Amino acid sequence: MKRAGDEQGTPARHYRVARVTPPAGAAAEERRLQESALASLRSRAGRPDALKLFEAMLTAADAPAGDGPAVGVFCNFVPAEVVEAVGARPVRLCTGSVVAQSAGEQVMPRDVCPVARACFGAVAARLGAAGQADVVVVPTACDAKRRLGEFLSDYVQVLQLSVPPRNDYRTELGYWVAELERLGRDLSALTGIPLTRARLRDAIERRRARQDAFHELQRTRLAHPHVLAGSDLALVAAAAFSADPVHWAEAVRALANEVMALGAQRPRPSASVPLVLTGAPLLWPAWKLYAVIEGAGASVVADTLCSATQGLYDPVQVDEWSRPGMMRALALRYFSACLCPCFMDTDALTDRVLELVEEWGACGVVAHSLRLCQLSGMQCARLRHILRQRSIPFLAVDTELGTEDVEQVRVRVEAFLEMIKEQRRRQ
Amino acid sequence: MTTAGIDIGSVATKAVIQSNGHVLGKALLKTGTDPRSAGEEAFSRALADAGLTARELPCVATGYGRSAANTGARTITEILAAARGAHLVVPGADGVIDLGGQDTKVIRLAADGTVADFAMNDKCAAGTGRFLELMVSALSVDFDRLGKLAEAASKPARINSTCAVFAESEVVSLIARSVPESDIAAGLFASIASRVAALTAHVGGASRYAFIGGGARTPALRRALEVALGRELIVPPDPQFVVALGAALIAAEPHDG
Repeated sequence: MKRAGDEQGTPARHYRVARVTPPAGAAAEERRLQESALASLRSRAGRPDALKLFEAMLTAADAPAGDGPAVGVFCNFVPAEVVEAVGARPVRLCTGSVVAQSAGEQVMPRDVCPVARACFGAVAARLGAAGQADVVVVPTACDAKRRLGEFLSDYVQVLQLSVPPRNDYRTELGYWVAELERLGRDLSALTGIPLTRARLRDAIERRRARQDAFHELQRTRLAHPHVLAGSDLALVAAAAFSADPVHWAEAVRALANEVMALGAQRPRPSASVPLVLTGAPLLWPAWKLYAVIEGAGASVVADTLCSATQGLYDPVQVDEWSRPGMMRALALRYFSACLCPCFMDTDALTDRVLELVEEWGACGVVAHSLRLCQLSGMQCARLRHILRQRSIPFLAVDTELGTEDVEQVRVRVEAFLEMIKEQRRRQ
Repeated sequence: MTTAGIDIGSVATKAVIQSNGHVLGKALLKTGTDPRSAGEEAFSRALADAGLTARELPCVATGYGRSAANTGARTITEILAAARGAHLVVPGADGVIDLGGQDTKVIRLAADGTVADFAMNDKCAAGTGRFLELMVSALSVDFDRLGKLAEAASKPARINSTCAVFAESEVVSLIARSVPESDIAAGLFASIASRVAALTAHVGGASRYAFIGGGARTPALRRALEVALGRELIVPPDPQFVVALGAALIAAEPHDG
């Protein structure tokens, strides 16, 4: 693989800024953070054994997870098929690590998006999965991501992927296809492997197993939602971001079988409160909100989070297996890979939330409002009013990556559940 | 049935002993750094106040220190407790405003006193008792004096920042510009009131609000809220005990886990 040259793609920067000094013991601290998040998941009794496979995938950051160079990606917009077709492997770098966040603050101001600070800090201090990537693809999804690439370019080669400003394929598809073609060219120049029709087709077909397995798991969960906790489903999804798709799909099938078997043995508890989770991403290992919700006896049955299941539903629908036909299909699929408020309007999110409430029989909706993410905050405000008109209980939890406000979060979640239970008793 | 409720707040711990809605005894003390001891002490004093010795009462704990309370007590959130308490002491209330040390809560009540919706301040101290505490120190007055000052205001200052830290700088620059401290005090209450009014909009508003919590004892704050909400607020006697009373009332209700 060629190293950070400036002959193709995004040019090298003219100016460089001060380097982040990896804080002493940051790597060990990062491992402790992950261990403690895992311990919280494992503290629940009766979890399916197959989850161990996903725990291993998620924490296998330092082990080589396959052939080819690691290409770091952010968000749900980067087509993994294109990365894989040119002989590289995508590694998702989105992180909620407070250790990475504080490393990032050496250069970034404290009052920008916590996730941007953490993602930058992880790459700069080479923490966790971010330590593997020599090149990263940064979609210009939100304002913070628009500038994140500049900060990262002092440490790794950065390929910027310009996401269309709105989700309207009638006007934006041509532009988006051209961006993905450009990404393919840039990546292929790095690996020396061309993006051919045959290689792209293989990559698309290999990835298809993922969607099929995920749908099977969801069908099983619908019948037995109490067997697999929302946090464990998020674990399965988070593992998908960097795992080999075929390996992941096999593990998901094993999990689905186990959920089915356990579901037949265990009666569904009547006291549990099923909830839909929406809003800003809950990035591993910052899973405080899952721990609080589940610790209070409720369950997250479905979500719209880009950090969890939202990116796993839609397959790539190829009508014509020509190279342009496949790129067009990828463009359409990754156009709608998440409900990010940076380019999806609140109506689209609301439709999805209402659909999930109905499908999963949820008693309420919890929105994660990440402090300093203005768009998700604004979306929460609209959603609150829309759901109230429909008498669907709604709670917005305004928080950050750390655990310093866990008691404040807990009192809000517990009060929300008390309210739902009282309303349920009254009916 | 005689029951107890203990409300271990971030600033003060309150305990109430009640029987069929009548308060038999109550106690209030600072929470300090040991919420468990504060809870036990408040409970003992409330028992003594009620002239009781039996400690085996059904008891419910609430407030930030609820899980640290005397072992075995059932715990609920202060939202549920405030709703129950306010429903009893302010008949017909369909809204509750509770201005506490760390959190400000607005609750919309159903006709039977259950919670229909609620909203709390976001993570920061804006619109809470903590905000006023910080401003009291910026003005070098005590809390009661702040209230009296506000009542004498001729032209309330406009405090734009709701962030406690920025508002403190704003107060300092108002002092530097020789704005009368009574006008600054009135401006601070108006600032809190506008934050609380925004929270009431989050729950869809109400027509008859009970105003409870420590903040309800300050007439200037109550008036600022009445101006912001455009309606009269009802402050029950002993507003700071309403949450503890609500917890005690819940201790008397059947409980199905």
